[in-house]
Amino acid sequence: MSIVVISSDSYRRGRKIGEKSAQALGYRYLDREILPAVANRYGIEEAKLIMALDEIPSFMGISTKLRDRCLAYIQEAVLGELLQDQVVCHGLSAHLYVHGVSHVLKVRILASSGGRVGGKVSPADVSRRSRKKAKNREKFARRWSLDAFKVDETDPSHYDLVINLGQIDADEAVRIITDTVDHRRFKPMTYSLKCLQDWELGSRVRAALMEQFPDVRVEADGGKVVVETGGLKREKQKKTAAVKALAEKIPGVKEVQVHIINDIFRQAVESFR
Amino acid sequence: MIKRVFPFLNWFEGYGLNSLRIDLLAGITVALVLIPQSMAYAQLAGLPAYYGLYASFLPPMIAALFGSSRQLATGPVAIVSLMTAASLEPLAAIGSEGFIMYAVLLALMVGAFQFSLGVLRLGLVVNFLSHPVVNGFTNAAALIIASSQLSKLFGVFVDKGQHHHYETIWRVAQAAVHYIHWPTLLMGALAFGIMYGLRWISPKIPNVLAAVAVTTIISWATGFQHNTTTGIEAIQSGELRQLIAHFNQTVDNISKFAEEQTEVNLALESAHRAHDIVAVLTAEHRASILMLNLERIKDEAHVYRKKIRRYLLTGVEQSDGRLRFYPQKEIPPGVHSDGRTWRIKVGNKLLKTDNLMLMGGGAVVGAIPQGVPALTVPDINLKVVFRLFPYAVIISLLGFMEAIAIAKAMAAKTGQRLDPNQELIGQGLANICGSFGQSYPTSGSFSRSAVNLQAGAVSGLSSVFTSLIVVIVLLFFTPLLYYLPQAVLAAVIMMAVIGLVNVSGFIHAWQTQWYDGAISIITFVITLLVAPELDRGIMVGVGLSLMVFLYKSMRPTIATLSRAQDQSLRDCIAHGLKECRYMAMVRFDGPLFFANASYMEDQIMDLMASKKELKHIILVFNGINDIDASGEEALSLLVDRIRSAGIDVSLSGVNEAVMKVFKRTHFPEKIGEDHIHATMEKAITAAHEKAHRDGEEDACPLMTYCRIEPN
Repeated sequence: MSIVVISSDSYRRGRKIGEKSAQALGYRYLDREILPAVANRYGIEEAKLIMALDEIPSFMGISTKLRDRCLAYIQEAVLGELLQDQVVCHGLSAHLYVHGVSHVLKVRILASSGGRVGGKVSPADVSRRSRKKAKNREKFARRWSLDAFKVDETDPSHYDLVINLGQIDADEAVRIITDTVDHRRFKPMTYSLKCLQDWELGSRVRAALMEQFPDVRVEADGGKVVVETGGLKREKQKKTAAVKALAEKIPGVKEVQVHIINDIFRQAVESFR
Repeated sequence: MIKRVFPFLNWFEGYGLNSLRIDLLAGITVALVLIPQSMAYAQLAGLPAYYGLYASFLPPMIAALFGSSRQLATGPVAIVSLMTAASLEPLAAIGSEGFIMYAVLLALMVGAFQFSLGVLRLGLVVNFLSHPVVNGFTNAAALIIASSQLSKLFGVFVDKGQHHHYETIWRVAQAAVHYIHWPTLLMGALAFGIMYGLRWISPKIPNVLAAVAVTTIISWATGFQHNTTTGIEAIQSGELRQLIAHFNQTVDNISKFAEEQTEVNLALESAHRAHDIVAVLTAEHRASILMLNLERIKDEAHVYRKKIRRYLLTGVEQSDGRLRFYPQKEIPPGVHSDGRTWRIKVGNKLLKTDNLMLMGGGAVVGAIPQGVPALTVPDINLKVVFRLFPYAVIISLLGFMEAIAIAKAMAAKTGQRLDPNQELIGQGLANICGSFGQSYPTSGSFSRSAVNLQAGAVSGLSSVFTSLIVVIVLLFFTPLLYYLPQAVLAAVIMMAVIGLVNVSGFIHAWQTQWYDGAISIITFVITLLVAPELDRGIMVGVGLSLMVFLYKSMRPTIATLSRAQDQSLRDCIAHGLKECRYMAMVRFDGPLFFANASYMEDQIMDLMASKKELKHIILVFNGINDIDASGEEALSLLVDRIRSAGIDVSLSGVNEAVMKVFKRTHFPEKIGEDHIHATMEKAITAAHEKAHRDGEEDACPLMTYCRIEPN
């Protein structure tokens, strides 16, 4: 059984296709409706989680630190759900953090990138204003994804399937998705399942550490977890012990390796030079 | 093209109101650190503290506008400030008008040098200052800077040592044993406490600013500075009055001698111009005598100053409210003192007997002229320019090294592209323009750049805002800084130099190569010994590292290879391997050029002499990345010599650059195209059978692993 991850430049249309695809495949549909549960689990406002998914950190808006924390919580919840298999996931940016899992079909839906050529609407009919709007939306999506995950979500090479709704209608799109997911390549394999399990475990550890160590990076391999976080030489022992104490409590973790990366900028600030 | 000349035009791509807000906040944050730090560094440079603010007005803005890094915060820094003081001390009295004038001129020179390097794209010149040299120098500089602040921390006054920095420290120690102004020391300790405490408790609070603010308020509220003026008749010690009279006479003589010296110098110049040798010799003779007399009389003045400073007086209030001052051990019985210890303020100038300045408290920054400094072109005195040139070069390179190191780290984090030559142009223009605004040499600061980055600065506009805030401070807030204790500035400097101390740098250099460790230690020791003439220390270091480089180029490693246990071909000596009797595989590690060509020849000849049964030599070229005319000629001659001895020779692993040279010189035809092999294995295979025909070797060490058995 497989997983479908849908990303779209129009939340409404992406959701519609996601729901229909889930229905057609008999899979569960995963959307932002999981956010209240995430908010509840981590004691954070749901509005902040939505802000983290929709906004770029700014002076007046959400801070980078809080955004990263919110995204880590969402990531942990989503990966937990994906591990259950037979899911269609949309609107939670899963395409940006599920890498190397071959049984995940990544779909990009282009809902506002232009008109239907030779069909009902000619390119000339698409007003300049709406095209500009679409362009701005794309620009924002690129900035957001690069800022949050260092991946350009508008780059088609990140997807297995790119469907332009200007060319193909929603039902056709659903059919294409359901046909494609049936392909052998998207069936779970031992390696791809392990890969997803590793991502999931890593995300759980990261979510647990985020509050205390906002810059933490986690990699999991089997039950072995490698944690990297910045710090000064004098903090090395204390931080290592704190990370280990938190990470070792998490179910599935067999071994924790901690690397404290020298924080040269903090060191520079403290140097007074 | 226009964006290359004005790199700041790139800032505004995708720049929005949000970025502007972030830059403004970052600019303010940096300014809060910069303002107190700059005043401290100006003090270290031997300038009045407010010159630090002048150096923080134009340079941050100009460097950001024309430099490559968007987050680099330029302004006064510790090492450059120390070098400024060291370079100007021999030319003028610290803090004097001449000293200030030369400091501004030095900024212009540093700027011009950096700008020229940048325009000529010679940023790589900084590589001549190797890491071990810089490490040795900065560690020594850190100790010199820290120890130079001790007098301010103890609240004592001494003359600088005549030749060496350690003489000054000894004088400070003697003065401190005699007397310490405890409120000054407490003020410094409080500043240390605040800075360290906040660093642990709340790193986000600008701890330097907090220390400055708290101590300034305390200083103002407690009347920390307590000076008074009085006539000499109020001094109730005949001996002290006599000392003051002698001192004034000596100072008067110094000025007379100085005037005479100017006359003699003029006479000497005119004699030189007139090519009158007799007049030149006469003038030189007079100048030498004058110099001797001047030195003697300066020594006398120093002795008087020292004696005057040792007098600790107590004030006794008279019926008219005025104070009379008695030496502390000579207070008449039954008289009530004011409880203070008074000292006479004495410097290089005449003491006004009707208006003597007495200090009953600590030293503060004092009055700061309000307003932005007037923009003027610095006075250019060619004689001074020539004298300052070596320092300007060292300051330029040292300052740039510091700036580029943090700029590179920031570029790696932000993903921006960094052009070191553009950065040199930015730093150069900052110093040039800064000198028009009375700035002394500046550079990119480690800590403030990191603060800027952590505050989220998006573009160089944050530095423009920093400059604007400094202007606002200069225009409206300078009176607030009057009561800032100098001991606090000394504490700020000392905190900064702790960051310069890097003992592990010596160990690391030693572990990498013992000679790098030795160079680092030698540079450190010499810099300490010759201080304040710091340029000598660094020059010795650079000289030593160049010598090592030259020696290593002249004597590259030449290794004889044999088959190792892992089946690779490795150095016989390093791996304890046997050598083949009939074939030698020789690897040369380094470019083959005029300085080492004959060395290679000698080594091969020695090898031939030591192996009587040798039939074939394979020269392994994998380590030779370049060859010049001398190298090619030496190789060609070597081939002839080897062959004339009845031994065959072939090459392996010749890279493209060397092969191009060979083809141009028709070397392959000479040695034979079939004698140049792509790999070592192919070369062995090609020569092995012929070389081992009729051989008596059981196993060839080039084909099988043969270890030298330990006896």
